[in-house]
Amino acid sequence: MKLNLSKDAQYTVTFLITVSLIVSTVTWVTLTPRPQEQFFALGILGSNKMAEHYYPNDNPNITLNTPVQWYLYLYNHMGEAQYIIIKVKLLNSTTPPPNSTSCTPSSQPAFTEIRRALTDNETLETQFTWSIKETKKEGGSTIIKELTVNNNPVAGINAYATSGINYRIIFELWTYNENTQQFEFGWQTGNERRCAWTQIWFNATAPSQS
Amino acid sequence: MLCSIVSPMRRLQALTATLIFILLTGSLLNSKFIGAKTSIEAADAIQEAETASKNAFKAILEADKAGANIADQASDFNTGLNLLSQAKNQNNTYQDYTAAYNYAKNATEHFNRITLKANQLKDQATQNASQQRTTTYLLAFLVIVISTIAFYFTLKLWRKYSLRRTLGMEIKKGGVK
Repeated sequence: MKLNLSKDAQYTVTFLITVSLIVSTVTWVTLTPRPQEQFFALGILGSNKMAEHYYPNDNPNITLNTPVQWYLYLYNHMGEAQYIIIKVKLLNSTTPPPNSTSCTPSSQPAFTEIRRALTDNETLETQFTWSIKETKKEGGSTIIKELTVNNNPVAGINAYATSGINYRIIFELWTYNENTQQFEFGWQTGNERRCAWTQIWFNATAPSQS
Repeated sequence: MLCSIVSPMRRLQALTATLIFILLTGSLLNSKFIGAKTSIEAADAIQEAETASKNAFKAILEADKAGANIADQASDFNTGLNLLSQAKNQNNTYQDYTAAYNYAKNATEHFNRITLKANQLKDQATQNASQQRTTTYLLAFLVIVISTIAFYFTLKLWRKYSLRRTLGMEIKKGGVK
């Protein structure tokens, strides 16, 4: 069957097809959200909220009851709200840190944690002030027994380091997985697992309380 | 003989007075600790608050995915987390189980309120998104139809104009150089 369309009808049908294609494309682009890279940015800032002055008088040898002021920085670019925990752990130089390749957290227990819900594109900036409250000397090692974190005592730590040198405070980012209903170290983006952690070293060379 | 009769009565009176004293003292001591919670009750309340927090976050996330503005809910959620943190602190650091229990119960109520509000926001956002989608599709359809009709009639008018111009032409004698 052959349609005998006039020249004008032919032009109109061509126009209709062209306009339909253009408008459909514009509608699809408008209604479909653009995929974006999903990530978190985690960092520690010094007392002036910059990447400097991490220790009082820039001296990493921390004495008893000297407050050390840091700011924790976390940016959520995951495309939706996230429920996170930042687990704070005290390690020495020989304790294995988290593994970034396999996204395995440090086996040490956290001495404190920060929980927050962050909306998409929200940045968390929270103060983290700590001091060493009690240490003990045992042989050639110094054992940190108790810390004060944001004016709250944290006892039962028992972290040792030879001569009190090379302690490190580690911040691990854990996210809540809605499917497993558990907190997991790092986050899932597509088929890939990513994780974020950061650390700051210090020495506890103060005279011990025993 | 009289002595032997009075003595048991006095003993009975003394016994009654002692019993009353013990009962009164006991009730007074008890009243001091009315509302005191055990470590198990505090731990249960904290666990309940943890579960409520997960439910609240689930509701917030669903509202977020539906396109609702969840900034206020997220802020309220963080207030609830502070209450939960206080409960844990009282429980673990100070062993004040009553305070821990009260903080945890407050946190649970707080999270339950957030869940309700977030569910309302989700329903509203879903409805808005559906309306917006329908409007966009309708608008796209109208643009296609109106522009095609406009094109067709413009073409017709152009043809008419061309014909009229052709018919209105005058034949002029041209000179040959």
